[in-house]
Amino acid sequence: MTHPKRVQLLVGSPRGKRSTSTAVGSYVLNLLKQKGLEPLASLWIGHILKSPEKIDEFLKAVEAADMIILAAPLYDDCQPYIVIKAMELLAAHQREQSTTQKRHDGKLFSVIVNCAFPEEHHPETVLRIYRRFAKDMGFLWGGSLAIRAGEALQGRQGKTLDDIGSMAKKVKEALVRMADSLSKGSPSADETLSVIPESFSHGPLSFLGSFFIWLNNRGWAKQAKKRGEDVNARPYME
Amino acid sequence: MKALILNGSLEHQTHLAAIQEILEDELSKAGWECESLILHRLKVGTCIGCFKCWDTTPGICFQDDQGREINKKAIHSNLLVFLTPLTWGGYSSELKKAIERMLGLLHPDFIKIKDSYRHRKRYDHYPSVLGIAVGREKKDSEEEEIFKTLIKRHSLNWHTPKQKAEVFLDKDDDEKIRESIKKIVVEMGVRK
Repeated sequence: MTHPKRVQLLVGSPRGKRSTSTAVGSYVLNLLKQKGLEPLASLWIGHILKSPEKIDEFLKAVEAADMIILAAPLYDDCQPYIVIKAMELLAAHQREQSTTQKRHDGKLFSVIVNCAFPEEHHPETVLRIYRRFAKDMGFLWGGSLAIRAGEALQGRQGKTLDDIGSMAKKVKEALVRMADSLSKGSPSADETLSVIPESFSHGPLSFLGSFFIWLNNRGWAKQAKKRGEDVNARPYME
Repeated sequence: MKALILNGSLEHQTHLAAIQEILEDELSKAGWECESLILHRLKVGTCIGCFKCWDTTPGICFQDDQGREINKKAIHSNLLVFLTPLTWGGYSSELKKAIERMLGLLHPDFIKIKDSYRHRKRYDHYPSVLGIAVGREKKDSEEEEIFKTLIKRHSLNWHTPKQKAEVFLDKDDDEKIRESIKKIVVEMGVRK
């Protein structure tokens, strides 16, 4: 098997560059660069969808790449709208091409999912959707990393994985494993991990998990109050 | 009792229209007030994940477009129908765009229910959800199963009283679809 050379990172966060998807995607891309692969210019899907010219560039970029890495959040148990739209565009483009060409046979398609919830079951459905898409498009499944309780990585605040110290340790280690496999042209394993220790969700340390949730909930109320709003408002009942 | 059908067909797709009409017909016969929205014809902006609907204008998206009207209709309905072309087992982009704009109908707080975290309710009542997907060619058990799981999981997060998912094929004849929908209407408790 020829080792892949050109890697295309697609970031599917509607938040754009200030997102956990950007932070994790950029991290793995840098690892692959260090291993001698050639990263193509990263594409933010929300930006791509703004014009037909950019969509055309996106379609050509995917064709030119030897490996695709999609980093996107989990919204409502599945992909964000912008990612579904990009998938539909890729499929429509493939249908328009001749049947003998433009399939992505053998091209690795890897996915990193960022999920706010800590439980394992949340990202399962979206990974099945991505696998199914990869199969239909002729991609080779390149493995996945499902990050749970990903809000703790603070990508929304524009932080990189290096900015947040030990909180990102497990994620970085998983991305190193992913990069090791992909750099050899092999699919990586399907991994899932929680940024917050699993023991915070169940067992004797679950009170710590409850504390984090309390902090999170208090934060929303404070933010709303600061703006003179009530976080519990029911505008459509008025 | 009100039902809201969100038709997530893409532009130039017409194959969901027949099922939409059957749904409207059967629900009306059961005495329901039914409204259908063909989403791609509406002006609905994209959720940008800013969470302003949680911390700045709680419950309302900052984008003043038809996404707001859909949310108001959705929370005042008793049944929400997600009608979509089967898209690798998931929703079409048009349907998902409207669904994402509904984030503010939930509260930002996390709560633990049966060992699993979810968002807290903002409102006392949420509609039941009926997911109907339409595949273009032959039956695909994998995609069908993914879709049914998606509706089940998604409904859990939405605190829906009841949920059900069904997959039809574009080539299924209308009578077969009508019979299935009649049964679904009974199972969902829409018709006694």
